[in-house]
Amino acid sequence: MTSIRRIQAVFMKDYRDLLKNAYMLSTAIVPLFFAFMLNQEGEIETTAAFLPIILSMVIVGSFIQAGVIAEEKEKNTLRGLLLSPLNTTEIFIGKSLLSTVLSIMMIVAVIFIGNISMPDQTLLAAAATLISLAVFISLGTIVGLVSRTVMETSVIGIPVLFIFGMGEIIQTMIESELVIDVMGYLPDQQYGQLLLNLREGQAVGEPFFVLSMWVVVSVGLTILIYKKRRFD
Amino acid sequence: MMSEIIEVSNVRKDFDGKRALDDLSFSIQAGETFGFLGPSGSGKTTTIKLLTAQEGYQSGSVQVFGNAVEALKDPKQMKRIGVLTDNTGLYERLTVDANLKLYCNLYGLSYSRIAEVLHEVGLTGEESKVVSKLSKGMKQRVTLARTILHKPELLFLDEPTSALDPVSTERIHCILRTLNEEGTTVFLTTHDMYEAERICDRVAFLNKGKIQLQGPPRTLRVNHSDSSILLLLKDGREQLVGQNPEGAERIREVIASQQLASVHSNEPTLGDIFARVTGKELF
Ligand SMILES: Nc1ncnc2c1ncn2[C@@H]1O[C@H](COP(=O)(O)OP(=O)(O)OP(=O)(O)O)[C@@H](O)[C@H]1O
Ligand SMILES: [Mg+2]
Repeated sequence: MTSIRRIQAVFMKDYRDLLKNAYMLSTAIVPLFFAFMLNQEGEIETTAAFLPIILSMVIVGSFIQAGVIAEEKEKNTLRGLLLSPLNTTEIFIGKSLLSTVLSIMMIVAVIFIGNISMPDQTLLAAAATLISLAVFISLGTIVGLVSRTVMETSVIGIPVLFIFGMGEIIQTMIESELVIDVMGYLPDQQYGQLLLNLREGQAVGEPFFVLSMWVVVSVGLTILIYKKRRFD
Repeated sequence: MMSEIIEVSNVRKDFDGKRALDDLSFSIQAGETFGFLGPSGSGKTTTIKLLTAQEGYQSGSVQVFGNAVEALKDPKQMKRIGVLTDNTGLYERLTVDANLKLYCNLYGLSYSRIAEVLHEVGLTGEESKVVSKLSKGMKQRVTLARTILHKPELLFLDEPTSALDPVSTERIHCILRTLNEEGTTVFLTTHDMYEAERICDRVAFLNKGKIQLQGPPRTLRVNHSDSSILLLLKDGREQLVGQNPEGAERIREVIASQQLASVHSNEPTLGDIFARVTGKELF
């Protein structure tokens, strides 16, 4: 049985720990700088409009998550949790909650600071954001699980940042149509496209479907890697 | 009630084809302190991982609390054991109190247990200290406090005192003896023969994944004694005599000439026995 109390205990521990962790705290506020820099005067007509949101998901959702997971392994505290009454679901939810909450706070802040013009369909936009966030947090968990130390997460995490967070920029540098097409299916692109479609009153079924597929694949992969790597 | 808490028979464990444990068999009774004594790489940690369902094994059987060891994966069963691994970590940025509170919540215990357990490990008044500021010995006692927070019936300790100073070691031994007197069954690994001798009811010698010998330390020493007697003379010399007419004559002589300072039995230490049985030193 999944216990809220146990999940909350892990969350509170992570929260207390974050407050003492200057490295994580300073990483967490990086998206705010991007939002300032990319402050939008008028409405941007491409998916680039949503770049600061995506960067928040990558930096807080993926990077912080990866760090939090890798640190539990590096400092040998994960084993303690695994040998406690926590079950797999509780560990997953408990260990993802802080970066989820933090990401949501940053996304909201970034939208206001960056003057990002969001679609009027708030509920759909929020759903799309949460689904994408789940993908980025899963990616972060995977990076954290395969890294042995917090430092290693930055090394392994940089390519993730480039591919999943900077697709917008990379696309402008690539010639090959095929690569551009394939990259169009990456979660950041799909998310941007979805918000753009919403804003312009176009259909959002396909990006929603692709994003949901990303959730299934990334969460499945996370669980698989977790089962293999947790007692390493 | 079952008196056999752990029952291991003919267990084999390979890591990628490399044998780590070979035909391992032993059992532990309720209330016992059982020590696994072996050099580095002999398979001590691997044994604890098997006994706590962290690792599987290729053949044989492992039973804990009368059930197959896999039953420990059920959180209800997991609550019956406490595990101190060879590198159990604490959250270094948090206070002692915050570390223990987390585990109170995970086990559904009231916070009043924290003061109790800190008293048990002699750390009363240290709860608001940040873990990173504690000495090594204190950290190990906090880790132990965390391990016994939920009053487990069965305690696994992987080299609980390695790299600790003698005073901290003595403190941990004292805590373990008290826990054992209160009925906790203890399984510990060590490569310190004195530790094994001082706190274990029974020990097993592990070498290259095999148990070479097991029994109470006292019995092992008596069985491996050559029954010779050590005479310490007043001028500082030592003399070893056998239990035979020549020995008796020699003892008579030193007593008659008032040279004798003291008489000792010449039992081997556990380290000597280990070396004799395995041809290897413990370190
Ligand atoms: N995960 C693993 N993968 C491969 N081999 C392993 C693994 N864990 C342990 N071994 C091997 O199994 C053997 C026993 O290791 P183990 O850690 O149990 O020894 P130990 O007695 O605890 O040693 P130490 O006193 O150094 O802690 C060693 O040869 C080790 O290399
Ligand atoms: Mg070991």
